[in-house]
Amino acid sequence: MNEQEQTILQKLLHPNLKEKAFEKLLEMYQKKLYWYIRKIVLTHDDANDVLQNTFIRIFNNIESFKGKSSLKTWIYTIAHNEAIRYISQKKIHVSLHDISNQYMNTLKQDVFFDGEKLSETFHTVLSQLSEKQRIIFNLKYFDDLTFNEMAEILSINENTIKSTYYNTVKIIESQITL
Amino acid sequence: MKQIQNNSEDFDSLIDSKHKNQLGFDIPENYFATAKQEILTRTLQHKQKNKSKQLIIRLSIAASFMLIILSGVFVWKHHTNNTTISEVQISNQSLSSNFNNSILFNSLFIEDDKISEYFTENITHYIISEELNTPNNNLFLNSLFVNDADLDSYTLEILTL
Repeated sequence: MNEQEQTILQKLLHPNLKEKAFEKLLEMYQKKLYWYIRKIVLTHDDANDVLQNTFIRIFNNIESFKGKSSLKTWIYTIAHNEAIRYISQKKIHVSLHDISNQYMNTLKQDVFFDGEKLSETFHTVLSQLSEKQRIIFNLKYFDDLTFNEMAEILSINENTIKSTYYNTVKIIESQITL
Repeated sequence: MKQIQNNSEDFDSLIDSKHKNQLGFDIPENYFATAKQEILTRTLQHKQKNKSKQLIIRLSIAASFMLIILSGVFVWKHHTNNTTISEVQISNQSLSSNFNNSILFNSLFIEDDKISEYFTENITHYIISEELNTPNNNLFLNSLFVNDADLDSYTLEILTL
């Protein structure tokens, strides 16, 4: 945990400073978490719902954070779990064969999706990946997390993550130029 | 700190453009500012709900404790009242027995003459009046009050016959 995280955590655990520190935390992670969630649930409205639930969960459970991981990975883990729970409740993904179609349909229904040629091609390639491949690729390529952080968030071995990522990049590069 | 903040802002804008340009993800205008306020309001509401929940829990615990204490007091009071009544009863009984005992004891110190006098005045009269009221005993009792001379003449008459 870095110095900035430690300072904010101390304030979050202090009853009188909690609200102010939470506002700071919100500023720090709101955008990052929104984009991370958006790539899982795909539509803006769903991402907004999940984002709000994530921050409420963070606010309510900050006292239970033991400091075994960094605050950043703990927050991402909550967001990840919330997003996965949300899509399983909505049954967005029915079966493996339907994933690609469902993915593209969900995207096209969203008014906040700009389906330009590159975006659609990118999403078509992403939709053909497994959920694990897609999440690992997104976390590295778009959210710029380290392999170690990804291993903590997804509870997967770091080497597995590395090999999955590089294989996924090869698949994507074979279809589009990043 | 300022350096970190600037880097963070740069990174955020880079992420924004990456998502918009490569994935075509758009967001409503001024979304993050309004979302921030919404989240803060919701967390505050949640906090107040939790507070009121805790208050309700605390109040119900306090109420149950009060109920337990009140029922305890009631039971104790009831028990105490019962004890008092029985104690009163016991003390009354002991008083009356003492009273009876005192009569018996006192009677030991009364002289025999006074007792026989009392007996003659009250008890004998009582027995006689009782006997007089019983019809079968009238003959016998009346015979007690007949003069000896009359009785002798009566027996002579009977015997000579």
